[in-house]
Amino acid sequence: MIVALCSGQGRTFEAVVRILGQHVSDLICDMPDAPVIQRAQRLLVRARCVDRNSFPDRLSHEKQILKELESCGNFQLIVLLGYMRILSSEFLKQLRTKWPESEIINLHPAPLSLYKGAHGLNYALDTKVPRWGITVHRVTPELDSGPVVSYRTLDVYPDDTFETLRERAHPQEVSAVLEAIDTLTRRRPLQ
Amino acid sequence: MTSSQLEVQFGKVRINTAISKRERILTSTPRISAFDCVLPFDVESKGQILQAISVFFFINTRDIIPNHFIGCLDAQSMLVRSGKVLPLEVIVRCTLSGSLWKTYSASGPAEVRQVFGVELPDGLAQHARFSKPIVTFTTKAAFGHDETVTPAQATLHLEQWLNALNTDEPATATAEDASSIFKSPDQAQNLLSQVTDAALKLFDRGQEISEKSGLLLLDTKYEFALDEKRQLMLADEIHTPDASRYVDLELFRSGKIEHLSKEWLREIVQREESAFLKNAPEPEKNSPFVLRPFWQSDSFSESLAAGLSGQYKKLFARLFPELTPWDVVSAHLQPWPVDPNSVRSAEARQRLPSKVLVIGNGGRDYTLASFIEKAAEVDVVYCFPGRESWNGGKKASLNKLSSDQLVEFCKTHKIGWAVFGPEIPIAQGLAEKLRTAGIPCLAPDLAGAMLESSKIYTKEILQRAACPTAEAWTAGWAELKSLVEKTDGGKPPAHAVLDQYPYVLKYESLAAGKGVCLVFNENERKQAIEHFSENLAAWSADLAGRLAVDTYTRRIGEPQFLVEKLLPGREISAIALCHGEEFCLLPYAQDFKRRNDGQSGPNTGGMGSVCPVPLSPELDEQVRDIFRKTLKTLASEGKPYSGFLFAGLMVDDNNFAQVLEFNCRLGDPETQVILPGLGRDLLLNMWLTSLNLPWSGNPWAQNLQPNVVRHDGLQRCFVVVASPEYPNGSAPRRTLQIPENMKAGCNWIPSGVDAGNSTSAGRIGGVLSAAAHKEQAVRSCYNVVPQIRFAGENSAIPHFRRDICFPNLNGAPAAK
Repeated sequence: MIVALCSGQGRTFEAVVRILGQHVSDLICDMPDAPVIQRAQRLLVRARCVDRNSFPDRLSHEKQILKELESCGNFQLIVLLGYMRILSSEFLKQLRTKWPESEIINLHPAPLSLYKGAHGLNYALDTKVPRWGITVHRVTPELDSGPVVSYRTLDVYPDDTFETLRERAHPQEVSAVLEAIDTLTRRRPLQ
Repeated sequence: MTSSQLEVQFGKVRINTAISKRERILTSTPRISAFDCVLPFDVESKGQILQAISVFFFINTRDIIPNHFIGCLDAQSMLVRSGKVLPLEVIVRCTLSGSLWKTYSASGPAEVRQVFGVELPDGLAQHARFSKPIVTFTTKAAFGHDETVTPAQATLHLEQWLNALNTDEPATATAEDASSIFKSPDQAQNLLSQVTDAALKLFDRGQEISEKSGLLLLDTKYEFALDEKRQLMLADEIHTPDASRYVDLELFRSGKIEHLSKEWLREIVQREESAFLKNAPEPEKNSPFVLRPFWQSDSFSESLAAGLSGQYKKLFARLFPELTPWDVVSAHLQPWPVDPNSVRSAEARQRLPSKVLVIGNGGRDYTLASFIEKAAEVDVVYCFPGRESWNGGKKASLNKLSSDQLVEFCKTHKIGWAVFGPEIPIAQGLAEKLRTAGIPCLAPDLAGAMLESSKIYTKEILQRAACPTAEAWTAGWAELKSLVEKTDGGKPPAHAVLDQYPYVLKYESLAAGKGVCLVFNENERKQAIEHFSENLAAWSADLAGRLAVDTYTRRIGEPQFLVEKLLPGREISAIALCHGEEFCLLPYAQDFKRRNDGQSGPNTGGMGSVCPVPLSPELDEQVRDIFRKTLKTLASEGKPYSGFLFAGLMVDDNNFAQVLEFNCRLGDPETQVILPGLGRDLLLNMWLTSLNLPWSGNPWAQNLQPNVVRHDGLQRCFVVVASPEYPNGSAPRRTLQIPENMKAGCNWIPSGVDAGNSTSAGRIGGVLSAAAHKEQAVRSCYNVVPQIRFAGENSAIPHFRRDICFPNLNGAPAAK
């Protein structure tokens, strides 16, 4: 079973759920108005919102997420698909203690070595690079670091807008996420 | 679990293996079918693409209706739940395309209403988009093409099916979650509306998803089943390009059509009809026939295969950009519930060879070839000698070969199996020759063939097996001759029984059906002996060394005869496929031997037949007992019999059956009415018999009782068309005229017809019809039979009996 953490649109989330079906059991979202929540409901994925703005600090917010995870059942994998908050090392430690068998990965729309942080595709447009990358990596306490699990590349054209580049990147993101999930669950098939 | 317990069904493009009562494995192959044929090429990646698309849509429609998908075992195999599949295909369309367009454009909206039960306005163009999708139905025919039906007809069809289902396995009232449809008086109606509702919702979902990918789903086909709790579920496949029409959405909006489905291939094949020579096999270098008789050119095949593979890949890339079929299915992999090797070996074991040989050139042998041809994995059925007029479909005749050349041909062309029709080639040792060349044969060995070629041997076996049969004595030809040649003193030197009338005098060995004479008095005895005297030279093939089989005639060096007590009663015949002590009885058939109506006129090879004919349980048990005892005796004497065994029986007024004779083959014209109603289980047992392997138990086969083959339940009637001279005197060659479009359910089965429809035997062929009721079958048969004529003005009129199935015995002389 997989739990997805998202903050926004959830297009990649939807594509992944359409292919993995009930293997994606839960969505946890930190933004109450994010369209991903409605997508999840349509796709029959249990959705819960842990509104980041109703907690005084990151730690109490993460504490609530851990609480929600406990009700998610026997998950094998947490996938961050456009989750816009950095997870603390305390959170990751708790995760490892409570679910030693589980993994946590993040979809990062940039090559890890070239760019860390949010809005990777905008950075590619701003810096006018001819090619860009999509990375799925294991999550470590350090921001956008950790071992790469899967990687895709794509062309960036001089006349690309954010929309055209996002269109081109979308299938690459889905493909990278599916490959990463396949790699990490090969030894232990998804429940 | 051993491989023999897995029941494998080879579909046109998928293999369906039952691994338990509840679960099956569906394997998608790279094959493709169109126009009722499996096309002679593989389509690269097709199996994986089809499975991935089905899996994707099964997962994404679970909220609408449950389906049979459990999980994937590999890229081409999925595990599914078994169910009772509804006898309907449900078609949903959003445009005027396919068969609906064909009917609409050819015959107009009135005909569409008549056939499909759908109201359409006048003046629509092809691919006109409907305001909302419409649902139509076709029946899944037991034989022939699927037939379009109106919703009203579909309801009736479902009702019959539900009734049969409830009779077989009454729904348990305690099953709480049993669907409510079974509690309602209008269960068929309710089931149909459930199905319609689900199909429309599924289609909406399919359109929604494909439109996001720039595709338009024009139409698709669904199949449904009832699961073990009798709840409706989606079965088969969903939204695959084999069962749907997808087009490019942008192009469609601008009035152009680009098919991304099997329709792409159908259109090309229809356009290039000359390359698709279904009924005209082309001679090929070094071989008298092309391997796949229905294709002209390899390069055409290759271009179609590559093109279609391209369209399927394009469709997949639209639906799943940047993904492979493996990406889509891999998360749903699960361990094999049985050893995959046992599944593969069950498939291999139950797969017939791609090239099969049928020996014979009569109507029976044509029917045998047609029966084998139905197996999807069989590519070609060679017929030896066959007839040129048979070529077409998968049949190809080898009438230019001698029997020595045949063995060579079989070796060079890697023929995998030979099935024998008539007895003479078996007695001549052709089966032994082929076996020596390593080709499995369905034919008894020479010891088994003695059951037909030596009536004295048969009598001995029957007596040792304690089977009821007439008392009999043997007599030599010299002994018989002495009865008519006045010797000195007129003392009868022959056995006294020859004076004790009435009796039957039978030539011991093979005599082309003419070696039996009824003797009621001294005069008839004289006539019988004269008859033998005239024919013996022609019959004594065994003496002349033309038969490989043993006979008493050969052992003694003098023609031998059997003098048998005449048994009163009616004749019935029973045919069983036998393998050692195992046997399965084929459905009983009745044949009509007399030439004329009311069972009058001379005896013939048979003027018609009907099947199935019910036999009382007591009689049925007697027949089984006869087979059981005979096979046991043969096996215990070290001569186990394998192949078809035909028993001619006489049943007296007390319903007591006695054996008249055995034949080591299928009967003609019984075969013509028996085989078309039978399915793969018989074919498989025929194949296993030839390999000398035990029959598979098929423990999960439905309705399978021991020693009984599954029958499609249809009544069949066969009326022979003969030359007017038949059976006396030889007929001149004439040209036969056969109506081109036979009524549905009727088939022409040729026996004595050569190339150009030139007749070459007394019995020319016959019309076979099938229907739910016997009366119906007979009626439609007789609608067609009189249309069969000889060419030319003032020509003779073919002879046929007008009372097959319901003989008019009023005022006609009773049969002897």
